[in-house]
Amino acid sequence: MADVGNITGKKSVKKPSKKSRNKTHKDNNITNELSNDNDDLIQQAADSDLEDDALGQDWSEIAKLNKKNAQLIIPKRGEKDYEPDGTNIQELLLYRAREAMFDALSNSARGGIVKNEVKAVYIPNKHSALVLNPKGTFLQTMGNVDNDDNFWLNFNEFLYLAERGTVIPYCLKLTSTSTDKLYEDDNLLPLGIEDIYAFFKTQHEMDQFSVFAHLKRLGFVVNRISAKDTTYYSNLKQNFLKSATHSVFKQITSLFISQKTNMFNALFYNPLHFKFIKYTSTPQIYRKLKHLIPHAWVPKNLYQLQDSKREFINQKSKGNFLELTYNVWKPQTNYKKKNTNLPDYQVLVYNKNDNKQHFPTNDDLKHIFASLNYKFEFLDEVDDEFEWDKHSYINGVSRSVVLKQTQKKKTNLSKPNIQSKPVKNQSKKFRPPSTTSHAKQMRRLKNGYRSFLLAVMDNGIISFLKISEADLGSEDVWYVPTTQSKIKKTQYQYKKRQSPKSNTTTDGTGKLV
Amino acid sequence: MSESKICIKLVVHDLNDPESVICPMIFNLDDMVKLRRLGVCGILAGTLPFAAQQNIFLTIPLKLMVEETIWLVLNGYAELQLIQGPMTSLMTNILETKGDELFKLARDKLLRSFDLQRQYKKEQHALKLQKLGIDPARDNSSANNKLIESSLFVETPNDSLTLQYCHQGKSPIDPTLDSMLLNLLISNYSNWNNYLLYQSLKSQNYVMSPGGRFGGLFIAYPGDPLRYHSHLTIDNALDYYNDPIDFISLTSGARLGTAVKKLWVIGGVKDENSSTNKANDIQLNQPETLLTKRNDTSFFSIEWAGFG
Repeated sequence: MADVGNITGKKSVKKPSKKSRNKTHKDNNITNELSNDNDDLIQQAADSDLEDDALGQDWSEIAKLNKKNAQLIIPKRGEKDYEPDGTNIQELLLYRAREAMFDALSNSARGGIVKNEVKAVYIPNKHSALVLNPKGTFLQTMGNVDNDDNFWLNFNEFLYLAERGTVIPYCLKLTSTSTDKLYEDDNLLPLGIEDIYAFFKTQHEMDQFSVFAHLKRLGFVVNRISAKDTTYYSNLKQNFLKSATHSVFKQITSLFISQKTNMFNALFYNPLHFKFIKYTSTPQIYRKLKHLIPHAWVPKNLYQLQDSKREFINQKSKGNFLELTYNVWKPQTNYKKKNTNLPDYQVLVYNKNDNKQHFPTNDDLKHIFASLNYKFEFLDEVDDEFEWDKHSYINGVSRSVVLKQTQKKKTNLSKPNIQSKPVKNQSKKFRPPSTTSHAKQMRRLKNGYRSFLLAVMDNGIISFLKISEADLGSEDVWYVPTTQSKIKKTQYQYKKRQSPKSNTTTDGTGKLV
Repeated sequence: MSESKICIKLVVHDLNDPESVICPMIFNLDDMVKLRRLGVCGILAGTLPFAAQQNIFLTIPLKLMVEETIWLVLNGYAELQLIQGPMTSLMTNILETKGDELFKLARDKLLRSFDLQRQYKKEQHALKLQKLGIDPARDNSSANNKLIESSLFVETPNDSLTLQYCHQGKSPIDPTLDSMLLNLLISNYSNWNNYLLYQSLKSQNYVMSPGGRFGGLFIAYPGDPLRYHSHLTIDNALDYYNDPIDFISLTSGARLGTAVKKLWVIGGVKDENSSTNKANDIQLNQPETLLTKRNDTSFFSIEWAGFG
């Protein structure tokens, strides 16, 4: 059974900091509000209360911002009262708050100047938009070019960019005119935002867009998951013989494992048991007791991951399971649209109010965990120098090889390409400083292993949950006194210095399960 | 009267396919102002163009909860505007007949805005020159005009120009269609008992917003959320006589409520026939049947006493 242990409520994905000074300032504001990683449930709930208040924010501050300094500060939310008391002052404050809000909304013009206008034409039967004169920074992470050198935005990207005013949306007035006149100015009819929203085909598609836009606004790179994505799993063409023997082997061992626990239980509970074995220390008892705890096996390193993937592909179960929606990358300068690196997160979108959708079932979760394909963060923990480029594959070829090949093609460019280094630095930067074995264990217990983000949509409000596989049964959580006399001595001295009342539970590790 | 009604856009691609019903939205700012006054807030969901890198302040579309929509329609404050797909054929139909007219309209609007901008920019430029002590009449270089031309602003509007034509030739209010749409919405995204809870709370002047984040259906504010904290988390409606109350959900709801300073509220509809009635379609010809039900609801609030 897949153990679904950690369901951490996260209000929002934390925003990684960027380089530019202005932006880090803004980031600070955001991360201050969002930093709830280590808090307990109650704290999180209290935190989200704060964010609830963000629903009725203080628009007066943002109304004051003009285009120039809008990037600098996000205003803090304003003061609120407990309840209406019928006084004029409250009426006035409410009036001002509404005024500020609607001023800000109506004065926020969407669009661009003629010189920089990028026209995107929606083509209904392709459900995507053709960009007539592609230019701008969005080209680095969005859109794709077809064989005829046309630049296309998918529907999500089209609406997101139109909402920002980065592209100006159009549709064709007449589709039947000759091709050379098709994209002339006289055949382009400007669209409003309402038009584009009407092009959504299902509610689910719109929910997915909302999550897409939410993450894009935070600076992440977001793309739909497809079969052609870079993967950590190399064997695209599977060796049938190998997999067959593997599955047989697996069946035998699993039989043995289940028998083993049963046998052990029988032995353990037998009164004769104590005639053979004497228990002289508490850890000894714990270690024996541990065998009685059944727990699910979860893959913990790359080989186990690949094994479980192979198994999953072999027995690809029938049935309609929920499928992951988006790959999400932290903001990065060396993102490559063609040969992407593995994403940092994967997201499933779920609408809480839709009566036809359901929260992922156990089978759904098993399926999702097996199909995960991202930078498994727990592998970084095992090995500090883990190089994902060598362990991720594009069409069965290692990504580092692919990158070298594309680099060779571009030898004309004088500058040597600095790749994969910034990524490494980044991963180091985000590592928490403490790396004692105890801290590592706590992190394993808390974060689990494979994980994905569940974006829960509730009428326009998006909450992110992180769902991860946990393995609580195989961790030794009790305090083990070290056998070396040296360390015992120092501990003894340490205890001596402490006040005598801290007796049995002095060590933070003295926690039992 | 009917002109001043709020217009709720409802996109349905295929009336027989429940998947294609898209939740009700509002794109007009004036309508939003009216809604606020009625104590219906909705949730803004679009990127705010001049602060596009944050998620706290957003702009149109305003997404409405199904319960809000029904309340607005039943009480006669709003009307549903059905945009019935498939969009490709709808758009081509409109464009074939009205294409040139629309194009001219859009072009005129753009040129008018360009004219205003040009005028404004020239005036500003002249003022600047005057400050520097240069006679603005002498400065009439073509380079300057070119600069002005290239810096004109092209705006993407909120509302649609084309979609207003998809309603021509239809009677403005069609009760049977409306009731069918409302039933479609309820069966997709909620149930009638939840609506009755909403209606009952609304009649007590609470302002509701989605409460999934707090483990409930709604959270309720005593006034406009812009100025007041919310007090209640309201759970999904119970079947008053039949549903058990789970002890674990009771404690977790109350405990979470304490942490977020909200009362946890459960409620149900006290109608002995409700189990037979609730699946039945409503008819808008007799909205009284639903509107009078507000006294049949019953609420209980649960609080973590923290005693001892």
